[in-house]
Amino acid sequence: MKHLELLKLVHDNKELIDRVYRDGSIDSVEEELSDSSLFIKISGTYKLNKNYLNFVDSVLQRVDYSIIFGDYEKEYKELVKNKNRFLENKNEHYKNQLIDLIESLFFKFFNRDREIQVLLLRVENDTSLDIDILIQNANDILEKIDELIEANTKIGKLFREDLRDIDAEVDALLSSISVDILKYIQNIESYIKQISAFLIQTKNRRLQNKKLSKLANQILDEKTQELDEYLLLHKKHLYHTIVKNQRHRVITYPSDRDIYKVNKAAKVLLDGFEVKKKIKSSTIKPQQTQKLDIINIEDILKGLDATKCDDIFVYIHNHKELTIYEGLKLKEEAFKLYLQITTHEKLHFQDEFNEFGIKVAKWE
Amino acid sequence: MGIDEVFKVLSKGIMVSINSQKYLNEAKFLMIDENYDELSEILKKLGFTLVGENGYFFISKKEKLGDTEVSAFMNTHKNIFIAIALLKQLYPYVDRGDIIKQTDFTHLLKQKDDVSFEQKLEYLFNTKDLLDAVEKFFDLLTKHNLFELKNSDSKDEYLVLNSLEYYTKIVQSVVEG
Repeated sequence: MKHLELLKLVHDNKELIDRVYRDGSIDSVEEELSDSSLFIKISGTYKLNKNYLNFVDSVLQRVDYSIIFGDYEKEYKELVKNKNRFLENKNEHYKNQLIDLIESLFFKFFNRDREIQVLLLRVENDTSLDIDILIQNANDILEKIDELIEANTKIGKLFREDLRDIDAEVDALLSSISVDILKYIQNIESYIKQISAFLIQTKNRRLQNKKLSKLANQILDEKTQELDEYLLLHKKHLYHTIVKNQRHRVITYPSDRDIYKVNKAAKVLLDGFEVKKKIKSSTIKPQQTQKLDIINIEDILKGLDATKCDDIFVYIHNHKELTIYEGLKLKEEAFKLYLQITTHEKLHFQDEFNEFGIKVAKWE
Repeated sequence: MGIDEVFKVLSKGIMVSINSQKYLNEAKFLMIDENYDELSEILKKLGFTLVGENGYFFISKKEKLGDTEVSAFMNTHKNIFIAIALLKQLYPYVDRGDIIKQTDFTHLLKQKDDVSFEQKLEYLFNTKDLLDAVEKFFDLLTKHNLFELKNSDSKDEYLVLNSLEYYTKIVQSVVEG
C-alpha cells in the first residue's frame, strides 16, 4: 500500500477509527482495515494499532501517566558502531546510517521535551484523581525525568565531542541541532524543579486537608480544648468586627399572670406610702459632647452651623482647633473628628470625593 | 472609593478579599500601600488593627471582648471549620479563585453517600433534608465572605474567596501534623 492510499483509507473510515480511538475496541472491521494492520485483532476484538495510537497521541500532545521515557542506549550503541565502521572504510552507507540515527535522536529529544511539558501540565491541573494517587503519579514522573539526566548527558557528549570531525555533513547536522539539543538537556533541570515544587505543594495540601478533617472530627466529638485555647489566646487578632454583636441577647416577655401578680404585690406595698414630690434645686445640665484631647468639637459644630460649608472634612482639616497638627497627624485628627459627627442629622453625604480621598459631606 | 467607605465596610466585620467582585473597589483601595498605611495608622489611634494578609483584609479590635462576643466568635469559627472540612472532603484541590457549583456539590454528596457528610451537615444545620442543608451550607460560607455568588442571576456558581486561607492558617497552627 502506498502512503497516499493509506491516507485515503484513514479518511474513508475516519468515523469508525475515531469511535474505536474513543471506545478502545470494536467487534469487527472491514477486511481492508484489518489487512492494512491499522487494526489488530486481540482476544476476539479489534483494536487500533499501538503505533497509530502513539502517532496520534504524539501529534495531539496527549500523554498518559504510564508513558515510558527510557534511555537512548540502543541508538547510542548503533551510533558508536556506525562511527567506527565509517572511520574504518569511509563507506557512505555508514555515514547515512549515522545521519539517520542523529536525526532520530533529535526527534526523540524533541518529542520527549513536549511529552514532559504536557505531562507536567496534566499533573498540575488534574483534580479528578485521589490526592494520594496524584502524588504517586508526580513521584513517578519525577523519577522518569531524573533518569533522563544521565542519558541526556551521555548523548550530549557524543554530539559535542565524539561524533565531531569525522565528516563535514555530519558536523553540519550536529551544529544545526546543537542549540536545540542543549535547550532540551537544560530544560530537564527546570522540569525537575517544577515537579518537585508541585509535589511539595500537593503534599502540603494533603496534610492540610487531613488536619482540617481531624479538627472537624474533634469539633463533632466536642473535644476542642486545643482549638478553644488557640482562639481565646488570639481572639483579639482573630475577631474581625468592631460593631457590637446584637445576637445572643435574651429578651423575655412576662406573661399576663405574672404582670397581674407583680401589680398586686406593688399595690399592697405602695398603698401605705405617701410620696412627696421633691423640689429640685439643681439646674438641668445639657448632655455634654465628648471632647477629644484638647480639641473643642462644639466650637467646630458652631462653626459648621455658621458657615454651612460644602465639605465638612476640609472645614475640619483647616479649622483653627487643629492648627497644632500638621501632615499625616493633622489628617488623622481631622478624620477622628469627622467620624465623631458623621451621624449628625445636619450632615449630608455627597457623591463626590475630596482631595483627601474622603467622601464629601455638606452641613445643611 | 474613600477611606471612610472602606472603614464602614471593614468595621462590619467583613473580610475583604482581593478576588471579590462585591468588594472590588475596597480591595483596590487597600492594595495601594499609601491608603493601607494611612487607614492602618488611623485605626491604630482609634484602637483597632488593620490586618492585611495574603490577599485579604480585616479589622481586629485591640480592646477586650465581651463574653457574648467570645462565645459567638468560638461558635462561628467551629461551624466554619466543619463547613470547610466538608468542602475539602468533596473537593480536595479546592483553592482560592476556584468556582464551586451548588448543583455539582449536591450531586457529589449524593454520589459519595458518606455518613460523615450527613453528620457534618446535620451538626451545622440541624436538618436531614439534603437540599435544604446544601443551600444553608452555601449561605453560611457566603455570609462569612468565604464564597461569593459569581453571577447574581443564577444561584449556582460560587467563587472561592482568598479569605479561605484565614481559616486554613488557624488549622495549621492548632492541629499537629
